[in-house]
Amino acid sequence: MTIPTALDTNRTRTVLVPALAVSDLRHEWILTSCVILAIAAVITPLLLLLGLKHGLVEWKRYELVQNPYYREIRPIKAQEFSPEWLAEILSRDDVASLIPNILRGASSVTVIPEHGNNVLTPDMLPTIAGDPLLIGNGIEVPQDGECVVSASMAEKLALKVGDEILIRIGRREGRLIQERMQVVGILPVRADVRDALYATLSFAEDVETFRDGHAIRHRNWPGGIPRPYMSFDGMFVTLTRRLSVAQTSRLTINTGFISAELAQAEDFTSLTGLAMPATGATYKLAVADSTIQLANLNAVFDQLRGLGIILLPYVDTVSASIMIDENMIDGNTTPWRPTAVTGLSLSPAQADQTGMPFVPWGALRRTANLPAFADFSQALVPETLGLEIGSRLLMRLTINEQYFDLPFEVVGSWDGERIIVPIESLGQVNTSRDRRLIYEPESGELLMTKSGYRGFRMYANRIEDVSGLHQFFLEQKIDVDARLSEIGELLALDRALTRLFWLVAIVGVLGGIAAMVASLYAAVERKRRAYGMLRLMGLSKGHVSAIPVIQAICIALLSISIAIGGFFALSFVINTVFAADLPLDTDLCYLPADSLFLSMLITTATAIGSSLLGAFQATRIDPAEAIREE
Amino acid sequence: MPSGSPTFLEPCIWRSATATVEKTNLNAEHQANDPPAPSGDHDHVVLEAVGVTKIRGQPGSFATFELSVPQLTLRRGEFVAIVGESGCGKSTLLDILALVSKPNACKVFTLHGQNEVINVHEHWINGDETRLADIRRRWFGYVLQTGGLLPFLSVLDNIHLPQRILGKSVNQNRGLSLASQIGIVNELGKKPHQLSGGQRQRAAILRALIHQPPIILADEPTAAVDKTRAMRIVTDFKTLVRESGATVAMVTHDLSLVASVADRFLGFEVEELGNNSVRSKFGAQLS
Repeated sequence: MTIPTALDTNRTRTVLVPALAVSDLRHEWILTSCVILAIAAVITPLLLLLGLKHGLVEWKRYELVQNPYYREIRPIKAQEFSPEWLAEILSRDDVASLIPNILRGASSVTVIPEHGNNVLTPDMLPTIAGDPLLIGNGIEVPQDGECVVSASMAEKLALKVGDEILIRIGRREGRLIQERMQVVGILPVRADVRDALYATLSFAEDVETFRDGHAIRHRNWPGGIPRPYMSFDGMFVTLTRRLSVAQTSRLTINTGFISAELAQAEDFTSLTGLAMPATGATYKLAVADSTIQLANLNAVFDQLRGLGIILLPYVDTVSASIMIDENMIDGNTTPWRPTAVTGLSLSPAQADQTGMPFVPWGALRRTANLPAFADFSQALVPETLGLEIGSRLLMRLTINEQYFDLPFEVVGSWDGERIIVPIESLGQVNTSRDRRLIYEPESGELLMTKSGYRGFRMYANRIEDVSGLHQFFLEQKIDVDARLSEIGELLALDRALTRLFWLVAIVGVLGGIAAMVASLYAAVERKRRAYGMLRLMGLSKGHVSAIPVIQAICIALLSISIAIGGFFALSFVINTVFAADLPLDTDLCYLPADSLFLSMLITTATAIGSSLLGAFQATRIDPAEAIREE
Repeated sequence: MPSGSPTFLEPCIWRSATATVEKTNLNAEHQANDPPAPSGDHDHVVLEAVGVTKIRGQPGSFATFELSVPQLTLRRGEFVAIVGESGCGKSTLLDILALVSKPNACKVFTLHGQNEVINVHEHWINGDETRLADIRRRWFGYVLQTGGLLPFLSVLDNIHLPQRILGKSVNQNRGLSLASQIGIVNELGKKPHQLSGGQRQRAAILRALIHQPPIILADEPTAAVDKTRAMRIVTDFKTLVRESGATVAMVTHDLSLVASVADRFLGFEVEELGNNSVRSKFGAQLS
């Protein structure tokens, strides 16, 4: 007799059990259809509601996020923001982009279109690569010689992309310059409602500088050269004889100095690096806590006019190092050699009179109209350096951790230890304590430049970040403008709709669960005999309890499929019929694919949960029940 | 012997069935393709139960019903009729034989295969449900009063179900051949509710033996059909099981129904214990 074995039967049974479950569903197709439709009727409105919430809020959010206008924050009042500070703001996680701005008053330019007679005076705004306002509106960032104009301006001047315009920039004393620019983009109204012209930051900065009265050489814009004034740390005066008490006191009257006393030789040497002048008397003039400028020097000179006074201003806060041979840079050793530098400007007569070193560049130039820095870039070097006259010396002058690498020409040597340069050059470099200076090697000019920006516009990463950034700026005592109320309204709408959705969803899902629990539990009760028979025929408790679970999954998948189909049909109606009256350019009701997938998962999971009671009931059915015939 | 009150005879004398039954070869051609049928070694014990007792409480009273089986031996290929009135413990006995009810006391309960002896008693003690389910599907076929066919499966699927539960590949030819033998070959695509009572029972019989279990338990398989049809069904049943070599334990209240097919007739001795309690002793040989 062959006794069947139980070997290797499980795999087949795992197919058998689902097949039984599905057969049962198909057999009772009317009941099954009713349950499926009931569940679908619960899910479809939920999907529609979710779709509407998605459509409305996400559309609006997309608008706000996509439209950088809403993420923009800018200071209300013009004040100076250092590049370092701006860089720090830009490095924040919640900041997407920051574009410096120029002074509001300097930004208005006159625009004359190539064709047509209208003239407009819009506000010019700087833009830089990656400007979200332009990129977010699908407009390329202009290069030099290009600009982007706002829709309102384009309309008024009948401009279109590719047109050329003339930009006329005037300044107070009547100088007028004009630049030709090509319109490369028109910014839609939603980005900027005003008349505005977006040009490169460098162009805007040049306009600002030009309006300050300075020339912009690379654009051939005329104007003055912003050479730095001189700033000294202190001053000695020397003359052939001692001053009277009255004369001494005149040194501190309206000169800006607060004290004047006879100088000590050691003090003089330690401050200037030179021997005390061999004259009748040398006085040390002191200021309270600031630098000495040309006005102070002239005041002192005027006070003691006629006494043959020699002014010896000094700078002792500049440290120096030199690079004699620029080819010495080999990566291993720093080519910079620390050295001591002193400033001295004396006429040959004054040098004779004081016994101080003779300097070829002559006397101190007490004038506001200083020549270019190159005129001061001469040096008298210690003989020990062994440099030839006419050779070049690169000197790094460091003030307050800021340094300038300046070329000097060796014009002579002397038997001292310090390099002597014109005091005017040190005085100019020393001004970097108060003003930002740059050295232009091409022109040999040391120039004062802007030390920062007068404004900025910045963009938060997400609209949710705007409020926090607004708070941050308030704490920094910077009044800023942000679209807080629009953002607040959107977020409130989002929250309200989310709550509403969940409320309806919970009620709906509870109803769906109840329907499914009832249906599956009742099915198990109705089929006790069949379940008992299956148990009698050798299916385990696990197998029979899987039947309601599998049926629940089938019902869930069919329900959600019908619900998604219904959702597409109804959302199509909503989007075509209802949304036609609304000023939307996207769908009012839509769901992204991942939401649909998620709803499928949730429905299936809920169905499985709902089937557990039926599954438990199935495990309690005794195989003996199949035998029992009541 | 007509159906009637239980007959009290000398208990506990078992003999093997030696009666030779006329062999009805219904379809030898198909049989050739069938799996090897068990041999007709009637001396081979298939099931042995000794000292099995099941006590049930009666609902709503302290009264009890006690079924005791001093000894029961089923041999290979025999057709055993278990005859008794309702209330004498037929269902309780069937539950125990079907391994779905655990007796209160048991000395021996073993199943004997060709190469294995299964100690069911041990599995009962261990409460090993999985093992018991496994034994049920390998060792038993069931024919219940109204068939016990699954309403949601077609007749054919019902018939093939035991093989699929066993994980065996389904032999369509065998199913068809047996179906034509038992006269339901035209009903195979239908659902059970579309069949007449007799056809359902025939399908149930087919399902009980299709996977060639050593033992078929039949519980009043013809209760729902008229006597004439019942006789034909039982005769066909007998024919099929003889071909398959399975042992049949058929419960019925109607001795006349099985008189011509059964090899042995076993009955109950019911004893009133007072207090409405009843003790039923199974195993009386009827003649």
